[in-house]
Amino acid sequence: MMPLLKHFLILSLALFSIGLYGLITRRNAIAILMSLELLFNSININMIAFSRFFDPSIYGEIFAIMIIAVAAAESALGLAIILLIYKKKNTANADEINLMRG
Amino acid sequence: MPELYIFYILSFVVICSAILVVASNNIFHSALSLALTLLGVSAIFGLLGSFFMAGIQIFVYIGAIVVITIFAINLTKQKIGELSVSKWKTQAFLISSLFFISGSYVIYGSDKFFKPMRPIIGYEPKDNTNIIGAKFISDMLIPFESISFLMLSALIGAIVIIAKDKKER
Repeated sequence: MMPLLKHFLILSLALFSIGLYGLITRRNAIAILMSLELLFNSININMIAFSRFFDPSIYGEIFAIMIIAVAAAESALGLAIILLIYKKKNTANADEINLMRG
Repeated sequence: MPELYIFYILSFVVICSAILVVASNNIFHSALSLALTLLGVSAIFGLLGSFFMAGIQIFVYIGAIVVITIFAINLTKQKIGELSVSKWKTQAFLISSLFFISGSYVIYGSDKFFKPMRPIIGYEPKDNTNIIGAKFISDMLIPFESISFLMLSALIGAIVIIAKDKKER
C-alpha cells in the first residue's frame, strides 16, 4: 500500500500541534525559536506533499525553498537578539524580558 | 509495498523526537532531538520523491540552524533548578489538542485527501532539481533575487545588532 495524502497531512498537523504547545509553554527564548523551527518544518511537509500529489509543476517546492531561506534568516536574527538581551539583562527567559514595557 | 511501513517508522521517529524537543527539561537535549526531527523530516521529503529538498533540509537546517542554536545555548546560561516550562501547561495542551482534533476532522471529512501516492520504487523519478534550477532563473527570478536581498540584509542586521555598542568596550 502506498501512503495517501492524508497520512502526510496528519503528520504535518501533529508536528504543528506539538510545536504550538512548545511555543506556548516554553520559557527560554532559544527553546521558543526551536519550537518555531518545528512549525516551519510542518508547513514544508504540507507544501511538498501538495506539490507532489496535486500539482504537476513544482511551485510548492520552490515555495518550500523560500520558507527555508526565510527560516534561516529568522533564526540568525533571533539568536543575535537573544544574545544581545542576555548581555544586557543576564537572562534568556522570555517572561523576564520587559525592556519595552513603559 | 514497503513505502507505507517506511512512512510509519519515519513519522514515529519524527513525532517522538518532536515531543522530546518541546518537553525535555535540559535544553541541550532538546536541541539534539531537534536535529533528529529535522533528519526525519528530510527522510520524509525523500520518501515524497523530492531529493533536492531533502539535501537542502540537511544542509541548511542541521548544518546551520541546529549548529548556531547550540552555539547560542552554550553562550547563554540556564539557572540551576529553574522550571523550563511555564504554568500554562494545561491550557496549552487544550489549545493544541483542540487544533489537532479539528484539523484531523477536516482532513478525514473530505475525500479529496485520500489520493494515493505515485510509486517511487520501481519507477524512475523525474529529476526535479533540473526543473527547479530552470524555474529559478526564468520564471521565479524576482522572488529569487528578493530572497538573496533578504539574506544580505539579515547578515548585515545580525552584525549590526551584535556589534552595536563599540563605546562600551
